Amino acid sequence: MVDEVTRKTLSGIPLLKTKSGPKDDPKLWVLRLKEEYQALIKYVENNKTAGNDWFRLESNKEGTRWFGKCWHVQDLLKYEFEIEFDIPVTYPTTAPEIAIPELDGKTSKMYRGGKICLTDHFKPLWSKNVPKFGIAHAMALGLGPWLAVEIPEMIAKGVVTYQEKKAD
Amino acid sequence: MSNNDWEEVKRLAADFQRAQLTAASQRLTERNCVEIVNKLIELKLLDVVFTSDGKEYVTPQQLNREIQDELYVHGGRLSLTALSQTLGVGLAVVEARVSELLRQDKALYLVLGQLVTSAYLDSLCEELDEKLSQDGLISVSELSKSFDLPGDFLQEQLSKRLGKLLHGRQDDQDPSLIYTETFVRRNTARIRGILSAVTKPTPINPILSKFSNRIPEKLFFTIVDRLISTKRIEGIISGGGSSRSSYFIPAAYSRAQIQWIEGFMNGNGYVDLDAASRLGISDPKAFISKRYPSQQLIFLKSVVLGESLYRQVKESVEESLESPGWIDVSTVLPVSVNGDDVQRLLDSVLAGVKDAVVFDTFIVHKPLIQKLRSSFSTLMTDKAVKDISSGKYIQLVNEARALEAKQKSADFGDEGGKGGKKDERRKKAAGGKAGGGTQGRETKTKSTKKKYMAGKHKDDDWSDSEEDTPKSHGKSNQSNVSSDKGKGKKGPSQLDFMSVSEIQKVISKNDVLNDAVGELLESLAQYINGGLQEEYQAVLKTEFDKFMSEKCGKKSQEEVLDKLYKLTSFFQLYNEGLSQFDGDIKNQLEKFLLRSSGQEIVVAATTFVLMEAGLDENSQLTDLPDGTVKDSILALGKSGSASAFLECLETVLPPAKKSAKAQYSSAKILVEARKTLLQELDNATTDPALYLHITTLILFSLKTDSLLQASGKFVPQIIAFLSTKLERQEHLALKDCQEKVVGLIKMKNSAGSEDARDELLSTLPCLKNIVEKCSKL
Repeated sequence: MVDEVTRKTLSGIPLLKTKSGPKDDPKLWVLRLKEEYQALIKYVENNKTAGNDWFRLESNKEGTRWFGKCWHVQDLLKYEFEIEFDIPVTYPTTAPEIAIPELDGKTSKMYRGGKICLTDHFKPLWSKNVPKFGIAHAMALGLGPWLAVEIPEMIAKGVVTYQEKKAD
Repeated sequence: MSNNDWEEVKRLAADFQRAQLTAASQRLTERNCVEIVNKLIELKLLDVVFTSDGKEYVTPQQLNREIQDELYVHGGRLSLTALSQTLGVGLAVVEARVSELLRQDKALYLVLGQLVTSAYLDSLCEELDEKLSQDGLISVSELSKSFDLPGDFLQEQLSKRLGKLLHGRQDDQDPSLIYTETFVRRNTARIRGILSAVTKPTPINPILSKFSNRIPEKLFFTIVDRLISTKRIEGIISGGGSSRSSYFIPAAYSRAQIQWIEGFMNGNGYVDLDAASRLGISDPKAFISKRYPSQQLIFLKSVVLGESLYRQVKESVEESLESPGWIDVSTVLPVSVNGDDVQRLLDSVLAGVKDAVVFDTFIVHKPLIQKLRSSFSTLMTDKAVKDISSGKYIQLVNEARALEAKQKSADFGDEGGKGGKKDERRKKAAGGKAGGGTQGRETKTKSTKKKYMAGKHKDDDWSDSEEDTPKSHGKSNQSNVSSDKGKGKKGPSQLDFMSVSEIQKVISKNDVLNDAVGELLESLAQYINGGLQEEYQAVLKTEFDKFMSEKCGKKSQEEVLDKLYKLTSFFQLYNEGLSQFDGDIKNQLEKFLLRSSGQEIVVAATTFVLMEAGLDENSQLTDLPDGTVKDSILALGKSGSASAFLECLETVLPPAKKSAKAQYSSAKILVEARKTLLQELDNATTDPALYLHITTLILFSLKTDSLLQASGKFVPQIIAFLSTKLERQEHLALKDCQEKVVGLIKMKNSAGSEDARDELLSTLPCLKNIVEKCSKL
């Protein structure tokens, strides 16, 4: 169900323990948020070590809204895209819906507003692992594979072109 | 607490950001590095090369340094491939580096894929200098082989260091040779020695090999040229200038040649070309004509005559032709002038002289020859008379005619042509006809009989050719016809006047030719001979005509008569033999006898009778004056029996003289006939039938003391007759043989006839025994 690479990626990300959404008890949310950060830090560190750092992410003060950018390197060109998503109220039961607004309408694998259309097995996997999965997992299991599949296709179709200045 | 927590969250967020930002520059994967370096190389921001194992990058500067280090370590000479291996970089890279190094460093050379430094070349030169001082000579081509460096490069480098590191000098003509001054001096001395010692043309090759190839050919020739040009040695190099095939010709030698030629020419007035070429002058003619440009030289095949000698010869020839009338040129010419050259010389000497005949080396004036020839005229007449009166001439003419008759077709049927005109006969002779045609045919058709008559046969011709005039001269050249009477001592149908040696003898008595040698006499004799013979034939003819008109062939008539007697005697004996038989066989044998032997007598008798009547052979019997003789001779030809024949003959023939009778007594004839038969028997050993035939005839003659004229078909009857006279065994042998012969004839070449014939031949000795036995009895 989950391939080997994903499993390895996942094994590097610490699992979360606190089950709390932003609208729940703020104390618990803080805990949850802390765990989220720790997981993200670990994941980013892992990525850097493996040499495949592929995103920047930051959040608002409350940790309910996240934004940043992700990139895909192909043919020595770095394609960068803005990403953003909100933590749903029912989080962590519901997975966050990551969106790439600038790609809205450029691919069929996407909902209105630029939300990426996640693979069929992501959602069952997520719901099975509530509350152990967090934002880091969503990035690793959701956005990562999507980018790996969709961006080369879009580059091939010419929908996405390299913009150097923007990449800076 | 809550604030605390939030602080903590804030801190974590900050940590997270830091983690995201800082960690990025901390580490690069190998893959990235490769990519980055590639990128940099691509952008020409970085200049490095990969090592061949792909593990390391090396900068060009480092490579340059390493190359120089390696070169130093290897003593100044290193191949690029070795470099590329030791440095672990590609050959192309090394080459690129090296080419840059070469640009920078002028003391570095790339030769045949090898880097060579000046220092290396210096040390090489030092080494060579040592070698040079030992050997005196070094050749770049050899060095190039031993050091594996290209000659041009080596050459250039060596000449740069010549005088500094290398103490020697380059050859002027061949810069690839370097030698020391002492070497040159040493060899100059040796060459000088050798060439001074040489006295005759010597090929350069062996001289060079004396130096066992230690001295280069070019240097050798340089030295020789210098020696010659400084007059240190005298001589020239000939043939090819400076090659191994040329010769050194010492001046002393050519001086000797010229001296010899001049000496010989002055002394003898000519030069022998052979001798000159033996002296080593390759083109003597050119040589001599160069020595004597003013003289008019006569070039012959083997000698060159000087002007004076030529004039001398010419004068003496002209003089001699005047006074003695002949000269032997060889006496005034040098001995070495051979026949061919004499001929050439005489051609030019006699160009303006007429009336000269040349025999080999002799020149004879034509008037002299005329004189000689005329001296024979009296002799000629004398001899002609003598020849004719001795009968030689007539005999010869007849023999010639007989031969002609045999040779020409005998079927002319000439017997009727009795025109009796001399000119007509001449025409016939000229046309190839023969008066003796009848005889010719007879001899051909009656081959068996001819054998019996062999002894007499030639005489037949007398009968009708007696009066022939000499018109068949030269037609038949058969030279060995000799008559039984031993008269013709010479073969040719033409009667010679004198043999060449006789002529020689006569002319040698001439005063003018007193001191002439045999050769001249012989040549002269031969020369005169031809004309003399023709002359003689003419004289002979006139003399003969004179003679014939006087004597009218009396003598030959006697001969015909003589022969007629002999034939008659034979015929009588045959007739006796006939009497041994009777009945039908006798008749047959009689007819055969008349046809063969009888006919012969008729012809002879006819000739005789005609002759006696003073008519010639071509006359007809009907021309005879009427009388008994004419009747008898006509009857003779028609007589039906032997006795009648003999009767007629009696009247025709004049009574025989005693001497003739004695000569042809029956006993003598018998012996003669037997002898002839025995001879024929010996000749017939391969023909069984003939052998048997002759055997029976011999036996018959032995047993009956008579002769038998019989053809082969009578053999059985004769054998039957002999049965009573022979022993039984002998008779049986004969009989047996006869049967076999019959059998063989019947077989006629069918298979097995060969065997039968062989068998028969083996029985022949038995027959011979019988004959021998009988003749002893």
